[in-house]
Amino acid sequence: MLNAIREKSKSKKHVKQSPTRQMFARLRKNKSSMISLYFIIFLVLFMIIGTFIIDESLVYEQTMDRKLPPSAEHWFGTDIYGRDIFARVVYGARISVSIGLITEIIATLVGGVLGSIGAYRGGLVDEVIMRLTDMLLAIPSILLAMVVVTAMGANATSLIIAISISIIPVHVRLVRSSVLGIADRDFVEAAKSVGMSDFKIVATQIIPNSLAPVIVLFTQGIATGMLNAAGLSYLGLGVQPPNPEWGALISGAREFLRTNPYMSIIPGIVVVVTALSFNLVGDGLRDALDPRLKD
Amino acid sequence: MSRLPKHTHEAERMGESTVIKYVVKRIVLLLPVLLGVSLIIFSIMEIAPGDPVRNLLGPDATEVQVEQLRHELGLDKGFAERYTTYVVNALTKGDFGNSWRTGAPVWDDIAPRLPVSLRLTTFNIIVATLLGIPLGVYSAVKQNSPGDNIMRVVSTIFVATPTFWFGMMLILLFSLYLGWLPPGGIFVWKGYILPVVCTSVVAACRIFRMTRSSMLECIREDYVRSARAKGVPEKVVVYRHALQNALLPVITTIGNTFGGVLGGSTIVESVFTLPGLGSLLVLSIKAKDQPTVIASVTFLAFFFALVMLLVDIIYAYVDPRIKAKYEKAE
Repeated sequence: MLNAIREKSKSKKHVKQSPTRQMFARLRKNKSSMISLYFIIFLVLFMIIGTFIIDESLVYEQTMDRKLPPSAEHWFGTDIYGRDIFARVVYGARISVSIGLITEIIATLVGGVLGSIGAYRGGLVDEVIMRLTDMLLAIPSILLAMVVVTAMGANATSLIIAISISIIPVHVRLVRSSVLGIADRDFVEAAKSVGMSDFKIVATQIIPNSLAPVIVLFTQGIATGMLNAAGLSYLGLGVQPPNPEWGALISGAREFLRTNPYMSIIPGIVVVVTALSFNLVGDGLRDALDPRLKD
Repeated sequence: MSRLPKHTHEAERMGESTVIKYVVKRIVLLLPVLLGVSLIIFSIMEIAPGDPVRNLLGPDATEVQVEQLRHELGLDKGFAERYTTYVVNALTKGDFGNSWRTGAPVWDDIAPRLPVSLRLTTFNIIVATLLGIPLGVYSAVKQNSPGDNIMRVVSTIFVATPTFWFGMMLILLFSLYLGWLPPGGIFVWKGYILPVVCTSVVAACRIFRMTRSSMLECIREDYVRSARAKGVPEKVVVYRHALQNALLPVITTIGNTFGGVLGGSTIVESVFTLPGLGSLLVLSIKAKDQPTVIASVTFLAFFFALVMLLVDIIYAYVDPRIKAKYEKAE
């Protein structure tokens, strides 16, 4: 009986919760998303702590322990130069995940500003921004990134710029359509009628209300950015060896696919699990932010 | 989003000629898209820091050598002049300039590679569509069944898998261990199998996910419930009432997926050492061969634009609202 009353009071409390809290409550119910979220937190912690525990010399210095299969000493085995693959994957996580994160932050900021200006101002400004976006979208994103790499040379900086540019159009589109849906709503008109400045309306009314799809795209975009960066590095157009970026690392293992397949299998699984985690957290966030979309 | 039932009176009154006009208009619109694409590529090359000629010759070259080569390549002219000359030559003579790597016309490099790329992408999109849509429909109709759950998990994993690694794993399993298929090249028709599987499985997963969610949305619509209530057979409800309406967003996804397939062809062709446009692009980026890069990207974007055109035409065919809109505009 007591329990039933408690349950009741709990559910009452639930109604009064702020939308953000409700969102987290819904997210917590999503098992795969929570596991993924824990994995990402674990990965990030490991990226930071692991680089203190594991000596950086293991990543770059060549030893005589060449091409050793996975063992207690070398969890992921060693590569052709006798470098510990586990250490390289841990250090590589720093590069790969950071690239995904940085490119996505740049794209979200630039895309958010351009998209909301276009949607809110309309007219010629909107027309120019959208035509430019359409043209950029006519080039498949990884090819656009490649054009930038051609122009700037193959290194980490140009890779980050290249991938950011290639995903900005998607963000512009999304933010614009999301803001357009909000700009007509009554509370925006109310804000206008009390004399709020354009900037303040965008900052306090429109942005908070159009964030949901942006957050989802941001989370999944980290995975996309990371995978695209790995793809370009694999082709030799991104981060250059001996840096242990995941794509570059797997690219180096390609020659030994026949003789030492573990060199490419294990790091590949790490990439898949990481990208999968970001995608699943994104899925969970989408369901939690917009319960109507949930099946 | 509510969807209109398919057959409206307006749509039935539409003549063939309106559709043809629509198609012609869309084909004419391809040209500005291509001009835009090449302008963007040109601009990126122009804005980017660094001197392409200096890059080409290396740090040891003297200033005189750099200037001489710059003049030879025509890079001493202004941006506008170079771009207009390029466009005019490309459109009137099919001349895309000379490769900085080989000195021969870029077209000579591209022409033999076009069929390979075209064949690959066509196979890919056919396989991906034929896999993705039926599985998506099945999954939505049998929501939460074991089959649905397995396919959802599998598709989620594949979407997160880097193409190059998946390709390597396919080579490892089917060529190196089982010895069934060649690890690369297209000397025999079997060489196409692994690259097509590598790309189309991931593409199929995207189409599958879209079909599933779009179908689920449609199955809950009022007109589906009405159809069921008035005793329409389940098969007709699924394929005629639900699927036809659910297809619209799926068609868009197929178009966009195709963009990804074209971009991914660079990676797949490199993994399986196929002589297509994608591997040419990678080769010329490494050789800092700007004219070949510009031409290959423009060609790939052209394919993409063609597919998007096809998507729009199919869209207009499937969705009577588009035809109606066009008719009103006249």
